[in-house]
Amino acid sequence: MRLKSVVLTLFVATVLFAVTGCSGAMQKKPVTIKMAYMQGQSVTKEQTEKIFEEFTKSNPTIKVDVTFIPAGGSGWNDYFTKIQTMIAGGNAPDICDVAIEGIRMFVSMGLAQPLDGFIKAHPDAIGDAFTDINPHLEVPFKIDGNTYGVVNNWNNVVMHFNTKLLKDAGLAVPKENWGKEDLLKYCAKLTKTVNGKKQFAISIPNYYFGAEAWLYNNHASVLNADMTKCTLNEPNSVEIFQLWQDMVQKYKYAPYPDPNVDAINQLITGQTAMGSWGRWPVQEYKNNNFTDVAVQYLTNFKTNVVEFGSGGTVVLKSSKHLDEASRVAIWMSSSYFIKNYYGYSAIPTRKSVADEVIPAAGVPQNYDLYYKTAEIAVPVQAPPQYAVIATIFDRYLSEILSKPVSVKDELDKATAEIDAVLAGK
Amino acid sequence: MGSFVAGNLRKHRHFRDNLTGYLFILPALLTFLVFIGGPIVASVFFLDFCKYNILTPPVYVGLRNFLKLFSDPMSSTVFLNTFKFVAILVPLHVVIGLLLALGVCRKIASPLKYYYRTAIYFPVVVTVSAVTIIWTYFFNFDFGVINYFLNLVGIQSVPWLKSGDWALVAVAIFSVWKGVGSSFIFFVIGLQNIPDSYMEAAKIDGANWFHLFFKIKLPLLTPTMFLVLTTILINCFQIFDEPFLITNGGPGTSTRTIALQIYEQAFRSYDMGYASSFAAVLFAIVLAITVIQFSFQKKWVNYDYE
Amino acid sequence: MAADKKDGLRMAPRIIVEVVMILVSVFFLIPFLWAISTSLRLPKDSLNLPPQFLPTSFQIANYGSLFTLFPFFPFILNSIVVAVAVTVFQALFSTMAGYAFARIDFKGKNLLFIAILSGIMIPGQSIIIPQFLVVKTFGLMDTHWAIILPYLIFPLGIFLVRQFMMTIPKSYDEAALIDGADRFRVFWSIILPMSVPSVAVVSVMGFIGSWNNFFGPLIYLNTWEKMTLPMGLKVLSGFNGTGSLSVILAGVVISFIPPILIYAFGQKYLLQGTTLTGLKS
Repeated sequence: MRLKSVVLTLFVATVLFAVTGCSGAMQKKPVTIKMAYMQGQSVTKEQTEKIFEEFTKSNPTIKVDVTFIPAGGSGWNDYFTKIQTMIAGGNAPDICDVAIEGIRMFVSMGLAQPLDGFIKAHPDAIGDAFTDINPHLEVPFKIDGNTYGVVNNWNNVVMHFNTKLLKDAGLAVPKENWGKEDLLKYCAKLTKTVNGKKQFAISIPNYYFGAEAWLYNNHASVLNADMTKCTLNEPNSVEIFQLWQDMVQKYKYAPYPDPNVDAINQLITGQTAMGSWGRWPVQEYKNNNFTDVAVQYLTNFKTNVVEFGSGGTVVLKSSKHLDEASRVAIWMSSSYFIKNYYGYSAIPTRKSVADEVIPAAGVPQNYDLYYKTAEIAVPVQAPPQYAVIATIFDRYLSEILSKPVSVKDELDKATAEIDAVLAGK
Repeated sequence: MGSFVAGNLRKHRHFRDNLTGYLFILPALLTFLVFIGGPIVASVFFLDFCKYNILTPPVYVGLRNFLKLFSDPMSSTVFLNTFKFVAILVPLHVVIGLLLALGVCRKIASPLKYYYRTAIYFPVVVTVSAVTIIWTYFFNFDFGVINYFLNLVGIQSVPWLKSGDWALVAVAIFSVWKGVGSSFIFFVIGLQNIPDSYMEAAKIDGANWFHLFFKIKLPLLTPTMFLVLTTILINCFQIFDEPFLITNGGPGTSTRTIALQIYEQAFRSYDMGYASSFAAVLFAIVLAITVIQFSFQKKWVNYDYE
Repeated sequence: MAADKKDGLRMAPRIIVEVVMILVSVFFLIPFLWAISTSLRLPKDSLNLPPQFLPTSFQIANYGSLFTLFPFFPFILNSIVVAVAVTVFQALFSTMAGYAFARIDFKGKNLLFIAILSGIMIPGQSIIIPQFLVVKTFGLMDTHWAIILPYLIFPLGIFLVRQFMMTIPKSYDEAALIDGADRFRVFWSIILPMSVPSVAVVSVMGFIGSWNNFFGPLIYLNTWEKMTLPMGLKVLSGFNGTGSLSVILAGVVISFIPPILIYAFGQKYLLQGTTLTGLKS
């Protein structure tokens, strides 16, 4: 009896060992993928970890370690600086969240791993992403024929209106293709003092992404088409900067954009009536139960180009587990991830998810403008030197808005400085 | 024989004193060498002659960083701005700190004294990024608290953070509010250390307020003044938090200081070598001023009463 | 008689001084009042003009959303851990060195003292880059060590402790040493207890320095979990989604609490603990 049980146990043990040994050889050891993501979106770390539980269900051998990087006031710039510091400091993540603003820098520094090989070898991982995602949005992440990420979120720039203030002024949301005259008319009617409270018509976009959207609509841009020269001092660009300066200094339609004051909050509280942003204010609208808001295309100065920026997850070349890292990165473009992560803070790149999430959020009133623009949208200009150029841009914009300086002179200086950066000096 | 033993003992004692002396200063000395002494040598004699972006090893480039520094118009801007801050802030901190200390060190009820002291010193203690949030709302041009009250009394809104010159003033006001408590507290200590007998004697001699202050208090306070001046000068030369948090160096470049320039070159552009050349020049300036200060201190600092 | 007259004459200036001092103290306190009362207002009223310096409503919910929307509690905890570590070790290192410089004769003492003291004159910005490289080489990036270790050396603290200890008569050490105590015993059980005021001063200064340290975390810390309050508040103020200034100010107000406690504990020492004999060259 005793002997029998011993033999039996040994037998079972041997079989078990053989089986597990065998499967152990087939299955890889569990690996941990360190993912860095920018804090400032609407989802907390705990919620993000919960989203990844879904991934672990089908990929039990990959563990995702979520690291949130706090980005101070200046958004992407600070975030990329932090990622670079992590890499320099020797604790680089395996994958990280990168927006259009940074992707060329990552590629030019040789930090990003092309995903084409992995995608080809693992059609199961990519699924229907490339049929569901509008190919326009993917363009920024295709560089020199390589795919450096599958975009999962994007934003355009549209004009947001506080509809209550419009109604009080006897105005309606303007029609598509509203021009400069309309804009000035709206501004004049929306600038007033109500019960001793100052009300401004509009917030000037004091950041590169928002500002270039205005330039685009006047046939202008920060850089030329192949992003080798700065074109800020060309007449069409000067015209827009002049308009901004006048709106702040001459007409007083707009408050001076203090970087410490949250312009979105001012739209909510009724201190301003209009502002140009993407979909990221929706989270703040929701938190404040603010529903008196509608969107429309930016003013058509000479044309109506909708600017956009998209973002995706990049695999760092330095990762020791490229395959697993790629699998996580690509899963972050799945419907499940996008739906749960980008509910309020950006436009989902997958049409199927956008169609579900955007109406569910309810605000702003004519939200269909968001995904619709994917077809015509043009990416914001972000060369490898984006971070430095954006800093120079911000500096000159604040100079022009704050002082009665000559717009042309300042933009000449800005152009010279940005050209020097592009020339690699 | 006896003296021989004593001598030996003394020698032994000397040896032990040397050893224990070194052991006692070892932790401080080690951290000093690793985090202050070594770095300053590396900054001044090595990094500023290199091109270095952290990811690849440093390359010796000779004086190139300094040539760039002296030809870049941004350099003169940041040096000028820093000098402006020093010129505004050092006298303000010293004079206001002293006046407040005199205002508190009087014969008044001690709860009142405690209240004044706490009110003035408390901003020193709190986190700078917490109070800059408050002050930027105070300074806001269109919605700010200060301009609201100015308008009430019929004064036009002041472009605190909008205009380059006013931004300098705004940062200075904040800096005094936040930091004058430290010079204040040093002066309070200095005033309290003046023996009452000195004052009593002078009063009996019929000295008036003016005399008491200029002939007795002020000379006795000169050592405190010297310490305050030294530390404030250095703090002002490296002013970073205030312009970084309130104006981010703007508008334009009007509040961009040497420290902001170093931060931006080093940790945004990753040009460690170029940033180090600014660090070296900053060090040279502070060193020169400190040497001058120390060589002049005999002329005005009074150590007779110690 | 004459004295009485004089006092009578002095009443007017006295009142003026008192009024000025009260106005000054209001200037120092009013930002705090505004922060506290605004943190208790409805988010949509946070930017209202005219400004109200006293609470108009009590929206405790703002404090609640601070902790639910935002990992605020870990910031406070991190800040306390780091500040306490810096305070304790910096004070220990400073008092040990101060003791040696004040009361032990050893070779090269003056030279070493001047070398360390010269640290007061070195602007932090001039050494930040090599310091960063040291931290990186030790593999301490994004750890709390990075904002503890470089701040353990405090030349001004060493100076203040030394000055204080120099005022204690040497006979205390001599007597104990003859009785057979060793230097460490003398330091720990005789001189240190007598120097408590100056140690308290150095500790308070160390705590404040660490509690306020903004630049260190800015360059050394990357991840959310490691952040201390100064960076945390900066992030909070640029954070889309908290919804309002009221919530941000709730965070600001909470950040005042630990320094208030430290001040309450330290202020009596702060005033008696420092003999400011000058920096003689």
